Amino acid sequence: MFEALGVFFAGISGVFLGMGLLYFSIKIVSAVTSRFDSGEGEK
Amino acid sequence: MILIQETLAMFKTSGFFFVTPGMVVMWAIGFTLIYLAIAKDYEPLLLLPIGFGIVLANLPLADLMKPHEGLVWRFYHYGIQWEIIPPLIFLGLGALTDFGPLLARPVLIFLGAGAQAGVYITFFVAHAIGFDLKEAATIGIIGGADGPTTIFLATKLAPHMLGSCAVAAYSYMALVPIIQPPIMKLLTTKEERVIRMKKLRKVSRLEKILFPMVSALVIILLVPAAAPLMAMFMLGNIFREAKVVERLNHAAQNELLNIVTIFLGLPVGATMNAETFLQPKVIFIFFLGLFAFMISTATGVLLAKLMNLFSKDKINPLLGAAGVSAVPMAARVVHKVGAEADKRNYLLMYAMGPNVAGVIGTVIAAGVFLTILK
Repeated sequence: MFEALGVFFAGISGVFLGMGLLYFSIKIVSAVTSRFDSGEGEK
Repeated sequence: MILIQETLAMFKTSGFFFVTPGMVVMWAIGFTLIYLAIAKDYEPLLLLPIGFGIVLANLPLADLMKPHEGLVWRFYHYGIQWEIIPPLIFLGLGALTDFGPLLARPVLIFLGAGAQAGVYITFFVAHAIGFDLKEAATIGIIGGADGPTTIFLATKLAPHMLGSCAVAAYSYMALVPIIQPPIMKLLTTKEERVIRMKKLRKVSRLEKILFPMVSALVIILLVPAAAPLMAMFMLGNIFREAKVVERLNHAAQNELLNIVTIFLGLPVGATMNAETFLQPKVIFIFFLGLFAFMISTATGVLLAKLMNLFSKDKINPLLGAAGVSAVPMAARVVHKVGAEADKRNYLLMYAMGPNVAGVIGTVIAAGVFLTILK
């Protein structure tokens, strides 16, 4: 049962860590690309 | 007399002589899935070949699933056990996915993570009631509502449960419009359901091109076990966004995706023979799969409500339900439930953000299971 608990917490934190990293990646990409943006954006 | 004996001898070598009651039950299950696919339009692309595969696998002496010899076994071995087909499905899905809504409102990515809590809660419950860790992980991932990922994980951790988990995943995906709305309404007030989202910002082409590359890099570095699915998903998306390989993009979205879908459904169904499928455990798998799906919906909605406590721009909590990765069905359900509260509230585009984030979240969840349990 302790092993399952370990997988449970590792899993939840792994998913949130992954999504957190992606969130900051998007923010960084967005900030960097806004400098090169020619204004031709799309929704 | 000799003629009768010869006829009887021939009959004894035919399949009819070897039919068992278990096989007949499996035919009934197979034909039920075929009926649901054709008459009720329940995930027909998968449930139709899965249903037919079940019938084929339970025909005595046909040996279609006989190792090294059977035709369907070869599809299963080289397509699924060799991990070819699920990643190719992801290539097609990547080519079909527009990350624009997610890039426009990146905070919605966390709703895709919130819905994965259901995967791990179900994993824990399944283990507590007697499934071993690998089986519990395979059942839990049904909550992610992602068929190819469920198949990918089941093949690696619990191949004996592949058929039942895949059928459960695709069945519940087809039932999204029935399963999700009551949970969404139960956990939200009318005031919350009418929340209007801030207009999405414009997303540049460069951002859309860079995102699949950056996310493939980040996720594969974090969870290398998720690499086959993640790499192909993002490659498909680069085909789409680069706009210089339209032929490849078109092929990935259409011909390739259609072909691999045929070779996915048939062998998955064929893994379900009477001996492995007709067991009490399978009933638990279906119940736990439904539980996983419901909890994933609930945790997505609850996370959206939690985020609203700290956010200046309120999020309509219905969007949390789209964090399960049944794309685009879950997003459509969010829009429909939102429209019931306020006809002018157009949530579909916003719901696509957590919906595609849910696909990534489920892949990460599967990758974490593989890393720890394999």
